[in-house]
Amino acid sequence: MKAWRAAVWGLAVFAAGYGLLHINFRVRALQEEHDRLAAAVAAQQRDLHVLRAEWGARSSPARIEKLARRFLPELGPAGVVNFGSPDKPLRGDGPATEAAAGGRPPETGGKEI
Amino acid sequence: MNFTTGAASDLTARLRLLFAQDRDRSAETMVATGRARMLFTAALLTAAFAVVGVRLVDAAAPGRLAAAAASSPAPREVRAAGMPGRADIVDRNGVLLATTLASAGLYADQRKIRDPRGTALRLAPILSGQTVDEIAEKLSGDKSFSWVSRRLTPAQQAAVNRLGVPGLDFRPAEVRVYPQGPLAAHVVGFTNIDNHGAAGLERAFESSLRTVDTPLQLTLDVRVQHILREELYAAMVEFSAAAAAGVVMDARNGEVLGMVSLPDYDPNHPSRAGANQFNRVSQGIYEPGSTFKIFTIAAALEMGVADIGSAFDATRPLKVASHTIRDFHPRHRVLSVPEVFIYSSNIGAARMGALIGPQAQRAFLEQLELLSPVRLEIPETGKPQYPSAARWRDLSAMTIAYGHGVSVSPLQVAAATAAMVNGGVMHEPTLLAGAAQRPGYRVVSPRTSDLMRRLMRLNAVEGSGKSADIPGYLTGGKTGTAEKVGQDGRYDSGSLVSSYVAAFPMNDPRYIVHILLDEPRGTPQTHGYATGGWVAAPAAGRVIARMAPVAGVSPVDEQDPAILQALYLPGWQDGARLAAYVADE
Repeated sequence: MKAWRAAVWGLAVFAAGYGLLHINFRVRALQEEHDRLAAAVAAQQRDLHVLRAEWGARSSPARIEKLARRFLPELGPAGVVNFGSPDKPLRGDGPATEAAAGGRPPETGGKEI
Repeated sequence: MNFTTGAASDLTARLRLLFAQDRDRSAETMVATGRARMLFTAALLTAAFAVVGVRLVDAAAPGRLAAAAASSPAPREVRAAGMPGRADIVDRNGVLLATTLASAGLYADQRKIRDPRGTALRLAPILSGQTVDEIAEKLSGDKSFSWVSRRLTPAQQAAVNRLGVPGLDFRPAEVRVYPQGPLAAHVVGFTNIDNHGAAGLERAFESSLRTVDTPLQLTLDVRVQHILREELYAAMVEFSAAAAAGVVMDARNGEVLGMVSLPDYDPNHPSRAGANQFNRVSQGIYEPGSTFKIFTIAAALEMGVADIGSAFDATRPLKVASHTIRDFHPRHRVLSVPEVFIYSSNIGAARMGALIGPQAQRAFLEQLELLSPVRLEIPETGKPQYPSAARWRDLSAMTIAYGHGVSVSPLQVAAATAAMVNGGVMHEPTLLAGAAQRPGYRVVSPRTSDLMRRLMRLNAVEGSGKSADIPGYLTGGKTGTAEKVGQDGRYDSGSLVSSYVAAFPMNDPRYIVHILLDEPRGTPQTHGYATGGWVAAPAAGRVIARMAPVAGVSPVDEQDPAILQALYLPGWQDGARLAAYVADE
């Protein structure tokens, strides 16, 4: 009886030890994977952050207007006539585009004034 | 004696036996109890170990850990290690106004620099903005740490690294970047070299920007801000003004969509800002001139001292004590309330001010928060100037009625005008998205507000605001021109502050646009005039024309009966227009 009991306990201790080691190795592996992913995420977040800042500067209204003046000189700010509807024509239509908005103002190019 | 001794020993023996038996019984009981307890404890421990063992085997089963990891909730997106530690500032649409980027600072261990001058010569082309002498000075000495440049771009860092000079090293740093440049400089502010807020919202929200991960969202709209800045700049150039201020505000809740003060500065280079840091919209204090007639007439209508049909004698200048109050465009006749407004009669407004009285006028202006510093999220706010209660007498009431003798910020005028046209509810101006949820408080009745809308619309159609009337957008407003006080303490007629405060669409006002030019000069196109109607109103009109489509305001048919009815002014358009007074024109 005692031998059986010892054998059972021995098996239990062995199983528990094996289980603990197994978990230990798996946890370490997962932790390394987590650290690797976290580092990759951080690196990509930093890149995205820089790209967002760059996009903020690239998409500034002053820059877009400057580009529009250069490449799309025929376009101007939207005027009242651009918003009329065929079923309800405006009686007080003003001239379209730039003239309706009083012409284009001098370019500042987004620089300090 | 013997008997006594024998009996005693017998009794003692009996007692001993009794105690011994009792002790034996007690020991047996204790042993039994101990066994039971040990058994119970052993069972408990066995059960606990069994549970732990089963759980270990269960957890260690193949695939079990991976499944547990997979089923765990997704990690929250947080600022990753190495990410700069100051929250972004964005506009109402999420456009980036301020952000922090990781950077590097260059320092020198002076003891290891063998040839400071030679090294400086090699560094100077890389570190723009520093001379060879300046760099050489930073490299010379016996300190182990000396900053050479606090902020390097990645390209500069790579170039310095390529030099391979022993004694030069890098230290991680952060740099605050403003992608929109000077566009919203006076609102956003800037940080100092240590990345601490030094002006604007950067300063006001220093602690929360450092502790909160989420961006600080503003009510500004960069599109509106850009339009306002461009048009303000155009007006400033056209009329050679010394400075300009402009604000666009949501009339219904006080949200500021645009706030521009010129000249401005680039917050990416705050050391160059100098005097341009001064925020003329919230910090600048100006005599508002005739734009104050909006509040005078509203007060008169609200208090019942005048109604829309009341008449005021403006046949000749009004003499009060040693002062003479004149009209800029005198009509030399009696004027109705609408005429006082659209002809901007100082005499008519002064007479109204006298009827209102100093105390009631002061109380009304206090209600409109025109006599206390504007409550705004940025620290740069100015304190209004006005007479003390003791000195606020009849003459003050008369001059303040047409905007002289009191100085307020352009932002205050805009906020108070919003209350006059939005149904009569005063909202504090705000720059923070979401803050406008705070309820306002009533300052005038809906009826008075309705009349003010009609009066302001009339001024844009037939008065001094014609040049700001953009077809389809039902603009309305009031011009203002005030003379600045010269060196000698007297008003200088050659030094003006010209402004126009507009609202649109006047049948249901959504936005307030206030334009102010400081010391504009007339041009041949304006016949030499530099008044609000000539210099500020056209700029306000252009701002409205450009921002209305952006803001989602659709143009309407101005001849639509519903529109005409909404803006109808009794006694004006129906042919019975002031018949008694028209003959002398």
